Amino acid sequence: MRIWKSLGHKRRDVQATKAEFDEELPVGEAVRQLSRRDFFRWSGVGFAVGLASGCDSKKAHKALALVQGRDGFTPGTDLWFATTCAGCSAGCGALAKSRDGRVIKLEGNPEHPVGRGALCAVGQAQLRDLYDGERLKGPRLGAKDADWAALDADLVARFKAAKSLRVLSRTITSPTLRKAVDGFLKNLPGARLVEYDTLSASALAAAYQRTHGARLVPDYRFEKADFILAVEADFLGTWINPAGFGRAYASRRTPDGKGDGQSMSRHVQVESGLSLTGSNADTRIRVAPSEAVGFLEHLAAAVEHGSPLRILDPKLAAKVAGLAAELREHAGRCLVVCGLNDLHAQVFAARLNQALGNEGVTVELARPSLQRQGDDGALHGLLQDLAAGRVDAFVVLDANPAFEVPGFAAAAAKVPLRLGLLRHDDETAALCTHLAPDHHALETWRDSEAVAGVWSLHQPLLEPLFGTRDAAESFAAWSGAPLPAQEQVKALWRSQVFPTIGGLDFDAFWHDAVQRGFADVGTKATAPAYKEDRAKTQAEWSARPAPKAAAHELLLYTKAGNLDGRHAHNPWLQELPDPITKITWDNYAQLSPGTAEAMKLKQGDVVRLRAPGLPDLVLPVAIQPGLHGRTVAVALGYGRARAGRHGTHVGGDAFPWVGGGELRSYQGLALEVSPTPQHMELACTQDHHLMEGREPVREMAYAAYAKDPASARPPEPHGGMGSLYNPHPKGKHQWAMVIDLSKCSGCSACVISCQAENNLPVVGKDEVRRKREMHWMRLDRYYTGSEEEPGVVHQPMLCQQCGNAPCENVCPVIATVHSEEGLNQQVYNRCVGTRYCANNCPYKVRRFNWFEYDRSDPVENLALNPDVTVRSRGVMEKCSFCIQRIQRAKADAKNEGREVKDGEFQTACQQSCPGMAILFGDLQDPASEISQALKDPKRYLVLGELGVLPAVSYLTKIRNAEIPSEGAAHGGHHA
Amino acid sequence: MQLRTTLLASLVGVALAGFVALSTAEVRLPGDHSGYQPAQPIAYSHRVHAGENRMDCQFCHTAAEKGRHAGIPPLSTCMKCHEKIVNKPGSKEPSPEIAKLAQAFKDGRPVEWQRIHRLPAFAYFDHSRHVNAGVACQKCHGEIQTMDAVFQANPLTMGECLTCHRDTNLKLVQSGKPAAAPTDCSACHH
Repeated sequence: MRIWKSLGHKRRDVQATKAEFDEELPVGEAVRQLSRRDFFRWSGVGFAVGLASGCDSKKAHKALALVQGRDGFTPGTDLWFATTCAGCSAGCGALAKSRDGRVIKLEGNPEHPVGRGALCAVGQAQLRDLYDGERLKGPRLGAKDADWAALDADLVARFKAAKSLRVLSRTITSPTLRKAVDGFLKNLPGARLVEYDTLSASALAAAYQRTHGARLVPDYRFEKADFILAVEADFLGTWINPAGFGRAYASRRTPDGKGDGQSMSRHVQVESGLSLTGSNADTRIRVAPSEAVGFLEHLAAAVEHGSPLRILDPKLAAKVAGLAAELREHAGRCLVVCGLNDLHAQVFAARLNQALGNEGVTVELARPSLQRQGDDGALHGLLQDLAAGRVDAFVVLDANPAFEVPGFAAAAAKVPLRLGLLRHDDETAALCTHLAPDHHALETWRDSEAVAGVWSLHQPLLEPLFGTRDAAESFAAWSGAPLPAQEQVKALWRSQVFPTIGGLDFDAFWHDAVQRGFADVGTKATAPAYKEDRAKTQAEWSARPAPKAAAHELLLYTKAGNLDGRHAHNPWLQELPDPITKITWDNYAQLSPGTAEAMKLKQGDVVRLRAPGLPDLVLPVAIQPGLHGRTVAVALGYGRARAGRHGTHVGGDAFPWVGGGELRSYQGLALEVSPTPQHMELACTQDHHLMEGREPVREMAYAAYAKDPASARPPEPHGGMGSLYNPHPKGKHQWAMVIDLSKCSGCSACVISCQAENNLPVVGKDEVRRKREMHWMRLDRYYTGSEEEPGVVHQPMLCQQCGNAPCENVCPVIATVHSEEGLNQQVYNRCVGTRYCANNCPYKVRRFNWFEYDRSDPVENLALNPDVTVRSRGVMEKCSFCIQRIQRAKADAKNEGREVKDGEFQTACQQSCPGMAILFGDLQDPASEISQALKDPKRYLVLGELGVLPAVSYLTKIRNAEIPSEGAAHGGHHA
Repeated sequence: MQLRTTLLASLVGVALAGFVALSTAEVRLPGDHSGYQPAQPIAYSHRVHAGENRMDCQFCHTAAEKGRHAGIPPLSTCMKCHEKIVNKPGSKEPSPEIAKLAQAFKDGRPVEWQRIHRLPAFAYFDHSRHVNAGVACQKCHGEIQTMDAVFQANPLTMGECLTCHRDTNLKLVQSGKPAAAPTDCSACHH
């Protein structure tokens, strides 16, 4: 078998689990306890009452109108505002859809230079984050709610008394907020700011200090790289700016350069785990967690024709030579990125980029990234100061050190004044004596400069939901110069941004900046030159003890949805299947299949991880193909003690295992793995739908494709007997979708975008175990090749809107019917829940509402899209191709007396996709992009041989590498 | 024999009673709220405004051609005229109803109108499409210009929607034009 989706599937020992619909529809206890006789008796009464009252109640509904009309405001229509995403520090530009005064969707801002129109899963989920009813709702003094005046008065007195205050924050990317903090610190002698990052790039910045004399984190240009080497850097998942990098990367992942003469890039990943980025690589080189630094040393030496100081595993050393040759061949057009928080590894990577002439091309030093500026040494110093009692006040700004920084909580408890400017009642909030909760980023004015010279604006999209206050306003108030956030932002832009842009009228400039959401001021700085003291590095490196290979070595990583745990309260992200393991609601200890077999461990067996001086970590095992045999990979950000009703006590906390000191370390620690008698069923979606021997994904080598593109064309399907029914009448439009598997990275932005757009409920861990997840868009992850070195193909799977749909002709109540525009319509109000359609769907994309899912929180309900019905219990649902957007576009076109333009609107998944892998449009328009895409020889249909005529087609994944034992494309069938 | 006759007689009696009850009682489909006429906080008269004064509907319901909802005008729209017009129609006596409006505007307090026309949550209706296609407001809302207090004139059921859409398409096709009123489920249900 060449293509497989799980180990059980590959080894043909899938245990028979319950099918999705084996269980009866659960009925509430109250109903179950009634006898049949009672049931009819009460039904009779109910019927009579119903008759008497005229069938349905005439409950009065109020209709409130505005007192004062507003220009440009039409009830029920959308207004779009440019803003900036604050889901992580990347600061991607976002457009917020506002309806009747509330935000209902976030999308990428295509003009924005950072995100470039992409918005990742975390960004999409910021909507749910905003409407989180569990946010801190107002200031607190001690354990009691207070008002702002009382809090300010109390705090100002205490600040004056403090001799050595520390502000502790994640890297502040907002210039305005930084200015406010600086203004606050200026008045307090002995006060300092300490910035840190949970995923630290401290070594990267320190390496550039060493090699170029400037402490900076470079920005990278993946779109200019013909050859990419990434060492332990998950740049498509969680590293620095994944959405923007993803878009740049995907632009070079097509074998058909769009007339710009650029060939498909080649990507090699060196890693010990299997990251989302690694799953997209053309070639993966597996190393043990402790071997990665040595690998880079060898590679740097090989590229520079030097001789390495360290002996490397001979098998790896052989791979180095090949890699060095490839890098030299692409000198000046390649890129080396390294995600290790290790000074020497980063120095070697910097040397490589310098020696290969990549600086100024793919490595941007003149306009560096301003993310992850945190200094681990400063954090270490703070912990020592705290422990020694040298700090008498601390202020935590938008961070959760009590969870993220081992040793902080214990050391900080002694400090007399502990103030938090937080948003959630988390571990750090529990530690604080004073709380001054911050607004959500979508409720306030703020700015962000994530890349030097790109100033991005946040604007408030609704009145603050709770009694919070903007952090910059808080600092200004405590500095004795209170100023609204908007005035602070405007003042800084007037002095810093406006003069560089030029122009006479600041108001006009400001209006334009708010409308666009950013201002690009460029930079006058020149890139620092290479001036490394190599003898120093050499001496350090020789003095550094060689890592000892251990049987098990730790790799700490973060998941694309949950990041470092800051989004643990967000159920959308908890329920998002990990792009690789497909496990939801948990973290786990990943082991390679060989290691698990040797230890006689099965998926879900609970193991105890031990290392000297660290608390034991007890986690279930997830067996992960592609892992190095010595790797034990554990995700950070789980095991939160206070993360609201969704995030508390989910998984185990691995932060105590992050190495401290001058550089925080995330990998290579030797540990013991010992089995325990327990077993836990992980909520994994990968086995939910089996392939039954069919091969839904196709892949092909770039060399073969480039030689003869027509050879990608799949064989004609052998089935295809057609339909017994007459063909459906065709209306004015025929909607269709094409998904390019070469561009899909599996990042899952589309899954959350769909969830936000279509009001999808969250079902919880136990229901996912019962195969009842509700995502309309799922990402199927297939492996090809061996268990040790698998290739990975990600495939977005959604309702295929079949032209000859198996679901339609089994519905007894005609609740799913074909539209004139080629869609399988699902009519919720007609559906009685027989589930015949889902059983008859070959793609398993239909979702059944087993319960009336929780919609009890009025704040959370503000995130609902008013154009999409909230489905009730007992109803089937599925992807509608965002029918509400289709209808809106058609209505707008008709109102304006024109036709719908190609590309005028996008489906939610298409809009969010960083790789631009999804294309949607009208087949009736022969000039449309989709009509052209259908002629692509790489196009194939999943299960096309069934003759169901899907409207969704896929483009064969092209790999820029040899594909073992296969020259031509494999699997699938032609339309 | 006696028993059977009694049974038969009573059955006939019940059937007759049922027939009489059904033919005299108001029988309507579920969801049909026609005739609903709640009391409003201000006795605003559409007959005076739209009927006697012949004001265009969209003079106040400005959103009807632009969006999904026709919208209830903001109080500021009412006050444009009613700053000056404070008396009862055709009289020199100040109107207590207009006084209520002025007071609410002064207080900055929205008037809590009682909503009359409501579609179920699973049906999507877009005013702009209908208004721009030239459908008269009266087609669904009845002779609103004659109503002092508005009531729901039509059932507003799916049958009513579809009948109109099909009739419209039939007329269009008969006059040689393509059908324009959608009858796909997803036109209204999504």
